[in-house]
Amino acid sequence: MAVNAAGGRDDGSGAETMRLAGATMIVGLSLACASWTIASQDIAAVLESSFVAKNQATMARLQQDAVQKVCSAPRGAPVDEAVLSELRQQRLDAVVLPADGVYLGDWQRGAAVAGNGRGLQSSDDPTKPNGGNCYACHQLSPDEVAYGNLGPSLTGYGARGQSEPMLAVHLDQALGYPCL
Amino acid sequence: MRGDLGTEIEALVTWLAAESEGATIAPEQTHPAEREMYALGEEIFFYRAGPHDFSCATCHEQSEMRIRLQSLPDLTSHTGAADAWGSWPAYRISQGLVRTMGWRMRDCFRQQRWPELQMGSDDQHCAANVHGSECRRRA
Repeated sequence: MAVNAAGGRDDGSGAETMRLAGATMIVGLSLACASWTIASQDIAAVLESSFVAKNQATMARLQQDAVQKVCSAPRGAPVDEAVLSELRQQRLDAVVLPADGVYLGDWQRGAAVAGNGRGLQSSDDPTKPNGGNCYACHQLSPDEVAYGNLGPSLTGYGARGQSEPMLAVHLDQALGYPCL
Repeated sequence: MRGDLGTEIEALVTWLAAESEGATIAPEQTHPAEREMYALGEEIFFYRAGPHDFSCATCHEQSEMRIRLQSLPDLTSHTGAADAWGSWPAYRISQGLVRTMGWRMRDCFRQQRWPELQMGSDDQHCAANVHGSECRRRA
């Protein structure tokens, strides 16, 4: 349907009668809802009562970690920069670099993981490997046109180099901005 | 989900939508419970959780964004919210049925790797209240 958010429309009287019938029904529904109250002011209780575990998608997934908590500030609300800065450092400190110094793995296998959008949904088979779902948000291979743009384009990212300073930049970009 | 049968809700919503053609989207924000729903809905909109670390806002607070090739409405803008709100209920070819916005929200959460959203739940009401109010804001 095409509801006009900017304003109403004047119809013939027959349609107007039907409109009134519909409006009466909406008022009726509103009154029915007036006695309905939210189960709790606590968002956790609302989530608890609104979701049900299904297959591998358990209720535990609604529990936030420390980063998710600080990054869930509603629009306009200040993010706790001190906490964020500490979490950022924790994430960077937790990185374990490959002991053998080999940073480039099997890129063809990586490409297959990147292109697989399945995995971890309640509708996915948990016995099958999870994909990275990378194309949902990033452009990668120039051959894949169905890429999202919520994240930056990563096309040619590897060509930026494998030197230690570049690896440090990669790590910082991947982990240093937890609220992105 | 695909294969579900439609219920009386889809039929009722379709009729109401047809009767509301051209009407202004203007949900009330006068009752304390409505304002409470709005506050909770806004909090849920920004609530990040799950293995993919998504909130509603991840996809729906910027314009011109998409997942793969699917365009994402900016639900924090008046135009985006009104366009998205006004496009439901809709006949979905993949479903062979008219579906509601609540149904689409449930599929959003599935893709967010969250547990299953229950139809008619508090979360749905709160989110719908915020969504409707964004349509009205700056209208």
